Amino acid sequence: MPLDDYLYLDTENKLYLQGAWHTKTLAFIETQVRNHCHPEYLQSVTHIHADITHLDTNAAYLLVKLCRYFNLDPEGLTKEQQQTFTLVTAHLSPIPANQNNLPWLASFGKACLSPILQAKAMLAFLGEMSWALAEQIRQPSKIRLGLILSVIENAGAYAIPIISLLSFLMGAVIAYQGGLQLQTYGANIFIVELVSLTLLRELAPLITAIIVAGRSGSAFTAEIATMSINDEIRAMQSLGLSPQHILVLPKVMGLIFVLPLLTALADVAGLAGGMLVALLQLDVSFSEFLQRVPETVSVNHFLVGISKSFAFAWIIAHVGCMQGFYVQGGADSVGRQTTKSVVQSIFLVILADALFSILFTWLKI
Amino acid sequence: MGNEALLQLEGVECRYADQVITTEIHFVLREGEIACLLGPSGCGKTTLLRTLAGFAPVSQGRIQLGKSVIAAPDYQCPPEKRRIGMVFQDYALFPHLDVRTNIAFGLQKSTLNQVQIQARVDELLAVTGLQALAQRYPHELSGGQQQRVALARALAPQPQLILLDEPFSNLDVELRRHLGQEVRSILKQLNMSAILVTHDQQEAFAMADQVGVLYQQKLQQWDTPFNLYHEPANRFVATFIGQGSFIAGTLLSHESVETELGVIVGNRAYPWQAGTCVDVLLRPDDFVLAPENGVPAVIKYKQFAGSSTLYGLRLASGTCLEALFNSHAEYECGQSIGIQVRAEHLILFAQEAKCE
Repeated sequence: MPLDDYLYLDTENKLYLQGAWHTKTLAFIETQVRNHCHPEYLQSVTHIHADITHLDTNAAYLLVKLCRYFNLDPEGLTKEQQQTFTLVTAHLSPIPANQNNLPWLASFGKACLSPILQAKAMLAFLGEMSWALAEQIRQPSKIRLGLILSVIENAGAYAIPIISLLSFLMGAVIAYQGGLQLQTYGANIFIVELVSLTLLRELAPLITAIIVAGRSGSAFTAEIATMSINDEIRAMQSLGLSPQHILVLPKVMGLIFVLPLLTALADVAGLAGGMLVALLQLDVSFSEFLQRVPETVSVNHFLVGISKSFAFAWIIAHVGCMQGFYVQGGADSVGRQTTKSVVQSIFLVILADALFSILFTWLKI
Repeated sequence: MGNEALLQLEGVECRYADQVITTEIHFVLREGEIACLLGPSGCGKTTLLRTLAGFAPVSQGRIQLGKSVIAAPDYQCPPEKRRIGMVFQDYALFPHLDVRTNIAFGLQKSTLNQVQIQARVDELLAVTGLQALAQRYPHELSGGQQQRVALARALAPQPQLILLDEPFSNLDVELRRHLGQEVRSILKQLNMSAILVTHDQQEAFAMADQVGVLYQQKLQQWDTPFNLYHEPANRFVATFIGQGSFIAGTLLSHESVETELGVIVGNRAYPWQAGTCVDVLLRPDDFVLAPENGVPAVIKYKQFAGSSTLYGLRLASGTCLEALFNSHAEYECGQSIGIQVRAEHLILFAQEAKCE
């Protein structure tokens, strides 16, 4: 049985409070209360009996917390003390309801609804964006060339090293893995078709889009979200400038210009990687390789890849900007929104890629 | 002072997620006037300002700027097309741009050439006294300087109206007073209409030509600072604006009232019958010392405030009052003094409860 000055637990598991409970003694009371708010007492305390000489609002606050912890009402308060206690309880913020405590059906429904809401928001944003684009085309003098150039520089020029390196490695890996299989049949020369078809048609546009989504899509979201939180977007609007024109369109235009170029670069770097492995592993010389590419691979495959990258650029800029504008709350949500933006744009890029495959098969390109 | 009505609000109601934030807001702002929305925190004044700027919709009523309606329940003019400038509470300066480019940000390159833009920026730098800081970045400036940059930036595109959201809340008291005067003189110099939001009545009185008191979602009174203080429309305004104490009295005629401090005669006539029980609002400066023939009062507490001292007094009947006297004469707590009322503005409210 722990025995203290201000509260003690008797053998019948009644918690007795005594002494003067006011601000001056609060520090002592608090340490003792903390000793009693131990999980091992949680079940055992059955009554809280107060036999105290003073109670001010500060101490009453502590008492309220204590009572809430044990989920009990205090007994034995004088009328005045009871009034103070009621007053403090009334002004205390309510216990936050547990948000996650929805019944399973409700949370399932909520989870199903969220992608629909996201899709709706995306459609709304697409509308806004298209409207702004139409406005801009009517007044070409309002196009912000400087901002577009800065997007081209940041999302394009600075991405050259990483994209070249990764596509080079990608080309090399495909050639190596594919080459092992081809070697068993002695069909070494078909490495050219294998590497160039996979890269030009599928992998180069995809890997470029994924890298750009991670590098620049996230940067777009972070930039817009930060500005939104600092009221900079509203400041812009109150200066008579449309955020769509300043923040969104330059990004869309810049990315649509630069992503196909990066894709072409990835094609070249990937082929180079494939060529190197072909030479080292499969004894296909550079000149043989380069000669065979135009002979067997139609230019359509290259164009298919490039045309997809326009759509990918739109998706990345769209999702990146939209998630930035939908930020809510404080600085902590910038990170959350950025993650969301990257995941969503990569998802949509791959989804679009699948749809393109169906479309192109159907068109027989 | 301008006479054209610039901004008109007619029965405006703002909601936030089904919750009514402000309702039945009516007021008219004339050209060149500075108005202030004053109220305790949480009364919806910032929401109202954001609605004016176009960041929130109105759910009822309409807002008219100049000759055109800018907001109604079924129509919302986008903020960038309203020509309403705004200075944000945290200034929202663009951190990667220096002062000059921040100010020039709102100037459209399509309508002005480079020389005109620079001339306009120079003009604003001169008005706000920021010439020496033109090349600095926002993080290199003090709060007061950032405030002035934000003002200059908002003024640059020549808006019709400028909104200031708690403009001085981040500054210390001394700077606040100084900058308040400075902002007022800049706005007056440019004949710019403005609405600011604050919870500080000193600031409101110092800056504004018209003050609107917001409380419990409604505009309680829209009037000049003088009238708010001396002719409050209701009890809330009376107690919220300035200090004051109520004492009970009985109306003798339409303009005189008998109280335990004697008969008080005022400058306003009230329509109630003689014999009606009323509460009289007495400001601390309505009392004078009258050692010989005054009503005795005991000093309960005092607050020294430089040139004057505020005394908390208790009359024989137990009524408590606050009175402001010149600090030359020094009285101690517990001492009894004689006081008289010399009120020029008689403010009465009908008593809610019956008098005994």
